[in-house]
Amino acid sequence: MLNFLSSRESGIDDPNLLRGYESTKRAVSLELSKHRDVERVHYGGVNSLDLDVVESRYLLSGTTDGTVHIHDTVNLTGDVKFTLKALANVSRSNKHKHKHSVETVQWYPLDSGMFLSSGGDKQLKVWDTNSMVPVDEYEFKGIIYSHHMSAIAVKHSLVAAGCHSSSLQLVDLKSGSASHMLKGHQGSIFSVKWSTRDEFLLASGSADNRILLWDIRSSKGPMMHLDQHNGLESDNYFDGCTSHGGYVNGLCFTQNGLHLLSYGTDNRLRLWNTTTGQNTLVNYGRIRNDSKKCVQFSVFNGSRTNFVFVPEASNIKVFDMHNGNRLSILRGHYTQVNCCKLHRDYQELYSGGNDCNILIWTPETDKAYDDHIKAQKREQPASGRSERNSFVRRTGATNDTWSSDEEES
Amino acid sequence: MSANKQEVCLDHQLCQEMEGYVEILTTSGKPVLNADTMKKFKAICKKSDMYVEHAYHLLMTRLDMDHSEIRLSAFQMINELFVRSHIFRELLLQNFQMFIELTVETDYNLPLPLPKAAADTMKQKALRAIQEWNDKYGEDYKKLALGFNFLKNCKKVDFNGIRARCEEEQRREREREEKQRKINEERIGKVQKEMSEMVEDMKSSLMEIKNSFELLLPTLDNFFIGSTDIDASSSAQTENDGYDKDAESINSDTKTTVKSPGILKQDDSSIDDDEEDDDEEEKDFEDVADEMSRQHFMQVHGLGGAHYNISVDLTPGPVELMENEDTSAILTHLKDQYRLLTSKFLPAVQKWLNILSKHGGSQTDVKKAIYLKTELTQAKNKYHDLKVIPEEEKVVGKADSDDEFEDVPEKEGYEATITPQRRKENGSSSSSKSKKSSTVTMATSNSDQSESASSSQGKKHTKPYWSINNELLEHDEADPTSFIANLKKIKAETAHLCSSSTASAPSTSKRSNSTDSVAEPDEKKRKLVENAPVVPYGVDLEHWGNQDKIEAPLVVKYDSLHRFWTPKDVEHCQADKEGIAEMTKRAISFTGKFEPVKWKCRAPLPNGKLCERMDRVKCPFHGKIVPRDKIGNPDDPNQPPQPLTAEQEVKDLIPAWQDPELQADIEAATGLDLGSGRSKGKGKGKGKGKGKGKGKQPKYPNLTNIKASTNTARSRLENKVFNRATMKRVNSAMDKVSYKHVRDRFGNQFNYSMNP
Repeated sequence: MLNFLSSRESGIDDPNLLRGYESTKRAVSLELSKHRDVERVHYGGVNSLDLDVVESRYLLSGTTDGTVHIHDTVNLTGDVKFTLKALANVSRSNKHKHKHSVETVQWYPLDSGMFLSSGGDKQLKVWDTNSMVPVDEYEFKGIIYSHHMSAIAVKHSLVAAGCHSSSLQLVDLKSGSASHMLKGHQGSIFSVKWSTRDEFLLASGSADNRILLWDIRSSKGPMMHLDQHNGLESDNYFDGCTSHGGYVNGLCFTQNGLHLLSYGTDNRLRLWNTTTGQNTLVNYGRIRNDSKKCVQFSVFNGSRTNFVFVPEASNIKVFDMHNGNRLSILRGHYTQVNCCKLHRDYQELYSGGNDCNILIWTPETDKAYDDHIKAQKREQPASGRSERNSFVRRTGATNDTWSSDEEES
Repeated sequence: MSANKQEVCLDHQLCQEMEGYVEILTTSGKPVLNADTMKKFKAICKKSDMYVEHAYHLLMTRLDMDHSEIRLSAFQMINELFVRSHIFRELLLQNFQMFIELTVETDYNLPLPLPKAAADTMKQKALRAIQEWNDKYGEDYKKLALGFNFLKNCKKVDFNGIRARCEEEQRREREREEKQRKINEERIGKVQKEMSEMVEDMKSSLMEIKNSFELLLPTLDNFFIGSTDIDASSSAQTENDGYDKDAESINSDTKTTVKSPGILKQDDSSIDDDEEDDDEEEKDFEDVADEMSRQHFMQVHGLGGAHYNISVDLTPGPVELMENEDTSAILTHLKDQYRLLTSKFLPAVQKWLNILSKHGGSQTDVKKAIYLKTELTQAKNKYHDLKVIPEEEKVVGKADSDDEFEDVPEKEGYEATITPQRRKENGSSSSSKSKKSSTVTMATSNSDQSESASSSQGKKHTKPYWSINNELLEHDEADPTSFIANLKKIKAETAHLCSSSTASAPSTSKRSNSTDSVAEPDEKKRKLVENAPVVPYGVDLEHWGNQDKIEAPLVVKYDSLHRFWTPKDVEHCQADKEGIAEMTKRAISFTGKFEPVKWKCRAPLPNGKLCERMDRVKCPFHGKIVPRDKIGNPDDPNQPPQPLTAEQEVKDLIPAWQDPELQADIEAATGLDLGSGRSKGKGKGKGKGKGKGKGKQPKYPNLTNIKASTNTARSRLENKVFNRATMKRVNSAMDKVSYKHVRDRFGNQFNYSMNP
């Protein structure tokens, strides 16, 4: 690292090199954080997580019992041990809350003063963050499994909402009405995502096993559909022209928008080239997925390598995106993990699961926390008796405590 | 790197041992672990983290088994290791979700396996353990805290309730302990009180015993006081002198061992002195010149070498004591004390000791009790060692005469064959002997003390200037009680015997001689008599020879069955012949020898084997036992055909209504044993059938068999109701009924009749 720093100083290397190197290093070494906690405000499983785009500071979460919470991730207390406080809640007693579970939450991409939520009560709500009341509501005909707003759009402010019974609708926030209806799917649409490269490009994954790419400027039909066999003859008639062998319930563009990752209930993760619509045929192995709703997963963009964080049952698996190698398994949840969101700058991962937990995974590249604790001990050897006691207990607890009676007789 | 190194070091044998322990512990089927085995297991785990890891894998596989008892034991082992090893905690927490599923039943699709009691216990214990772990390690193991919260919030486990229950139990436990402590204290206090009361008595009793012993058997310390007999001491003295001389002359190299118990205490000091001298001198005798002089000394005295071991054994043997006037009082007192000691003090002390050791009495009390016990047992043993010869014999002798010497000749009187000429010498010698035996009874002891003791006792009986001649002169023949008179009498008797018989032979031989002529019949009779059984006298013996004259006993017959009112004239009826038979027959137990049957029936059986029955004469299945060849055919071809084969017989035995198949069906349906299997299997050898019939021993006999079919009313009913055939039958019957119904109603209508 010092090498990188010195070469960065003297301008030998590309400025991105050091950043890429360090961030990659951090992203691979994620572990369950020992010193960061999320205040427990959830009474249902966490279905969706989002970090605001502007500051990457506020963590938005939607739960299965219809509540929405906002946590502040920044630690301003000065203490290392830190619990993320909930800043604002749409609690269970709130009259504006979703009647059924909240399936998706998303910050308005340009401002943290507004966010959107949609869920099982067929409502898409637009919230004012400061007053925590919905400023607009849209009623749909079916359960909204997923909605998405383009982060790069400047020419439109459309919200794509994938609903039950194959209707994919676009809601224009400017006019406050549903502007488009995109027809093409034959099953419930579990996941919709706007491209991160082209503001008019939309991807949708559905229960009919297909992923369709739409250009919303043409109303005729989908621009292309992604074929898992790349046009080759399939051995199975039903398998033809499908993207997965099961429902497609997770979609994610890479940051540069060149690739699309899809996750299906056929226990597969697939990587697609968005320009050609080709399956890149990267084998990630079998990833158990029996969720019948949208699963959020994240991609880390390093300078050379990209990592994918995919929830698999109660664990989160980390893969190298391009060669499909599994790098690690993050174990911490006790039930199904529904979503995970990577912090862009700190390489922290937030994950929410059905066990009502939001877990924070922080990079453990060095034993910084332990060092900190030791330093603390050195600094105040005789300050607080209670503190010292707690430290003694801490270090004592991680030690072995074989009693002497286990001596061999 | 280091981990790899350790992996190389993982001992295969130890691993196997661990597996063995896991197997034993988990298949014990008991709700608690065997502490010893667990200790051994932990000792192995303690060696290195690799073993802990191995243990983890072993235990997780065990925890995954479909038997709650195995799981319970495995869980308990996990608990033991969890609170000890950091590595184990990390490993378990990595897979904590599965652990929770397997122990606490978080996933309702995966219920806990069968023995329900064990499953419930495990669930409770696991929840409690998780709670305890969380209290202890929750801060440091994030995942543990998460799991705890998961159980608490999502699975709604009432940890507060568990904690409260736990506390309640602890409180109850504490209370019980407190109560127990109070009881203990009470008991100890009681013992202390008793002790303080009785110790004085005991001490005084012990003192009395000690004093009486001192009176009876003076020790060497106070032995010389007023005693004329110095044999013992002088002998000891001479030994000592010799020793001293040796020590001086042979100098240091001679090692002399003297086993000197208590009696020779006064000599110990002198020996010690000598030895000290030896030590001092040792240094001086290292030069050669001295060596020379020593050799010279040895030559002069004709000694083989300078190294001698002289051991003098001075252990006291058993002490015998004659009871007499002087000692009897002491002895009775001693006896009383002894009785008191054995019946009261010793049991009491034993009881105290028990109570004190059981309830944790204070050290001083225990010591005191132990000291008392040793004292008492010593006294007791001392009394046991003392052989008291009772006075009775002498008392008898005194009745005859005042002379104590008189009790001896009685013994002499038995010697009938003594010749008159020898009798004279014998008389004098025996009298001297008798005197000795009467005065000094013990001769076995080689100890100074016992000898001196006995002689000191004997002194009292012995008149100092006594001689047999004096004694003889004192009495004349006229006195019938005197020795001389007795001798005369015996002499006369023997003379008479000699004259009556031809030879001086015993009386039996004389008789045989005289009856020589009638020897043979007598001999025969005698032999018969010898062989004849001895039976008690009875009616049959009374009428021996005229059996027909035996009369049956009269029986009083009452017509009225009333208890008080009886008719005036009572009819006496003769009992019939049975009564006579009863009286004339005797039951005589068979005194012959049992001869085990060494042959088998060996008739061929349908299964190809030979009949294994061992009957003496006749096999109940195959008739008379005859010699047979290897395949079971009788050697004698003229043998009549076998009456029945076993199988046929069995078939005949089963009644016609008992169809075995039907019976088996009924059994299967009802689950009751009606004996169809038994009747079928009867033909096979009984010896073999027994072991086989029980079926294979289960692999883990300690575990509850969860596969055993539950013979409940419900299952029996299920078997009946949901039987495929039954369902078919019932359905077809019902179909028929409904079809009939439809036909009856609508049979004449066109549209119904077209498609029935």
